[in-house]
Amino acid sequence: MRVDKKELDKKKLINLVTQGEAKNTKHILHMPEVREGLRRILGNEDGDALFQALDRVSKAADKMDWAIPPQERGRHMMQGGDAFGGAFDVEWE
Amino acid sequence: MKKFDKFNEEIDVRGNLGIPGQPSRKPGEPDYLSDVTARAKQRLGVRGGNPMQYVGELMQNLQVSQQLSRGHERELAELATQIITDLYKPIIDHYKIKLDIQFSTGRDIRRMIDAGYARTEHKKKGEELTPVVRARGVDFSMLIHEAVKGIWTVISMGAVPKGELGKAIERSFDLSDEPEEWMYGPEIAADLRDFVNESPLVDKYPNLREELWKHMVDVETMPTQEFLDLMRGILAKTPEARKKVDKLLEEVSKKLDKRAQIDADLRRYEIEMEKYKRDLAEWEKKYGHLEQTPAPAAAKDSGPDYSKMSDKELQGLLDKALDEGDYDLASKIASFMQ
Repeated sequence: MRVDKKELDKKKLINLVTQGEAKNTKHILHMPEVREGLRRILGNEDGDALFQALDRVSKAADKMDWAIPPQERGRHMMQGGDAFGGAFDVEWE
Repeated sequence: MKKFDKFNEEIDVRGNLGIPGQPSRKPGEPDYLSDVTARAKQRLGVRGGNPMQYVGELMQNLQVSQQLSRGHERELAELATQIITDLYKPIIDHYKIKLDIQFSTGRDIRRMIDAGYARTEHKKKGEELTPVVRARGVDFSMLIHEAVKGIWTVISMGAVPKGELGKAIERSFDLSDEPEEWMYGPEIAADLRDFVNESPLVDKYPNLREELWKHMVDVETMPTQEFLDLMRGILAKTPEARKKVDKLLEEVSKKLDKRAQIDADLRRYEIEMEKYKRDLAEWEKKYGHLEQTPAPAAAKDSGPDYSKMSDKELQGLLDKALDEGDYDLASKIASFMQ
């Protein structure tokens, strides 16, 4: 079944906004609630170290997104890289 | 390499009718994709050079984060769940979203993806089920990232037409589309957020942006062409889009007021029912030994088929039931609403 381009453009925008909201929400790492939470769980020193590491991962990932052509990364992902950083699904119970 | 069953090849952000300047610029329109590319690269400090430096930096810090998290995965997942719940509380409460957020290994996540890429089951109308967002990640940030994607996926559930067309649309996208979404997605989402945040209503209603988005993408509330025109206007910051978004925010906020009233009424009803049950139990304790006349069998429910009604029809019936104080019926009708 061929799909009307407008429907695909709409779905693409939904995917873009969903992905964008998820990436932008990662900035909450800097919220006091998160930093205090990390310290409470790991102790002050390790909590701060984890915050720093997560922040660096996030910034490096953002740079990679613009520095490596998306076609190249897409090809790599489809070829079945061994490991992925995350995934989600939605089920009904 | 694209999926074998992918029907529509290369769904590129370029040429998207909802993006200003695509496929060609209208008079006065910005070249949105070029502008956000320059903006993002400058903000992130991306200059030429070997991109592998960023890969190395990421891997090194990921290793550090995983070492530090080891043994604390459950508590960190609970923290992520708490943060997401606080951030999306009205949405989570209203749509009865259950969060299942856990650490996982990269290999297990790969298996999860292979089992069904970003699998999303759609609820059949009338089914009394609640959505469960399962988010898995190798570190704390990824748990947040995937949980937010899950919540926005639930919000956007009404966006795809039902049946074969909907399935064909879903099959048109796969993993290979994601890298482009990582680039432009944050810029588009930020511009949408900033545009909506200009309205004073956002201070009064938490998650108003998400509710507006639901209204914009739902096939029952906005036709596809109107959605694309509106997105194009929002991203180009046109006065027409401003006017339209302000009007929609008014409508959505009125709907939220009504929803809050319904929720309050239903809560009051639940409290009254609890009290009634306690009184009844008390009464039975006192007089239960007396012979009871069996209650007449309830008449067989031959009421309307709510599962076949639109949300608009259901809303009308719900309002009527609430006006009449029939909270049992209101609760039943509410369960059929999307």
